[in-house]
Amino acid sequence: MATIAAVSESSTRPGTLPRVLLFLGRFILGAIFAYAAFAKLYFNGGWHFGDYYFFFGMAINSYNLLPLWAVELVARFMPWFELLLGLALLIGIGLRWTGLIASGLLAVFIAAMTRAYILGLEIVCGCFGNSEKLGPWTLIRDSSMLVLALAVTVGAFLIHRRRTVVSS
Amino acid sequence: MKLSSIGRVGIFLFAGTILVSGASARPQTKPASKPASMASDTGGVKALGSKSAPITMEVFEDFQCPACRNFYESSLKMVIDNYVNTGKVYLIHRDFPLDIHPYSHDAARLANAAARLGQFEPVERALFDNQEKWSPNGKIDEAITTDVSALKLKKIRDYEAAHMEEINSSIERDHAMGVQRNVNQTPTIYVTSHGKTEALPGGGVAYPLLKQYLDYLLRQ
Repeated sequence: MATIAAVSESSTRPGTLPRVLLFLGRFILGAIFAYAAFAKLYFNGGWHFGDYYFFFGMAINSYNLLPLWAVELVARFMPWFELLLGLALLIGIGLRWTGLIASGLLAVFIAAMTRAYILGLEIVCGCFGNSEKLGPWTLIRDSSMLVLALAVTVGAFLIHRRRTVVSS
Repeated sequence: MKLSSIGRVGIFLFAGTILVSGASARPQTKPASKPASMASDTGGVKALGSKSAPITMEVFEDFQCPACRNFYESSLKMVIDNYVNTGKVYLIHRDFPLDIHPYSHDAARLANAAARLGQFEPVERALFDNQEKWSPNGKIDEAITTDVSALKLKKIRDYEAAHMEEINSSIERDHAMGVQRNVNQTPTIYVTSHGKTEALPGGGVAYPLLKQYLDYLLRQ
């Protein structure tokens, strides 16, 4: 009985490779989000803790998607939200949900950028600071990030399910 | 009640965002002034307003660029009315004609000649107000005669012809300045205040947001 239990446990325990891949994926994704936050707070050669939301707000508003009050709200909170999300991914807190949130956020960004690109808006992306012009490479890059985020999310759910099976 | 993991993550992200963004909203100590990174040329004839204004705004523009027109019509006109004419902003036009716009150089030459005759503002306004008329065919004079009299236009064109080299050099100087500052689209806006120059997001800025930023700078 003990032998069968031991064999059963080893076959359902997440292997090393999936866990390593998940670690790499969440680390890269977390670093990307943390950098995105940094780029919105440090630009033009200095920190902009007091006025970052003006510049980021201008970039958001150029998408012509949100009313002014929403632009201001998003501009104030998004960099800090990205920073915390990045840290949570880097540390590995609640990976299933932080991965899901990151995926959702990226999906929304890509939808907005795609719309702006199709409409021919000549604007800055606003992804990593205020100087990157929106273009096809921006869409490709962010789509790759979405694929990574989805992989991290799915991986986290699968590994959690295996652990649940083992513990039950 | 035991919180699920999503609840814990949600609370962490939400509370953390509120706390950190609130902390950043506290008045910050003024950063040490860095030497102004503005070009030594202060705009001269293509500038509007008072040189002693607390804020200087440089706009790299292409007269045939639709985004520049939108920015001029929806934002810059109000900046001129509410900030330039009241001595709060010194507005400098910088020429950055793009190669994809075949008539932008001609428009820039006309504006530069007009500037040297003290007619920059009305000609700039006429060029942007009538852009959709002259942009497809390059017939600038025909398009702006409703706003600039034929006599005045002839005087400007005669001046342009007599000072072509000087005018082309001026446009080229502005363009070179833009290249040096990594201008890669029009309009591109630089705002200088308290010895510090910031580049705004390219492509133009909506007036309500620009107003908020200018008011913020004036309060510092």
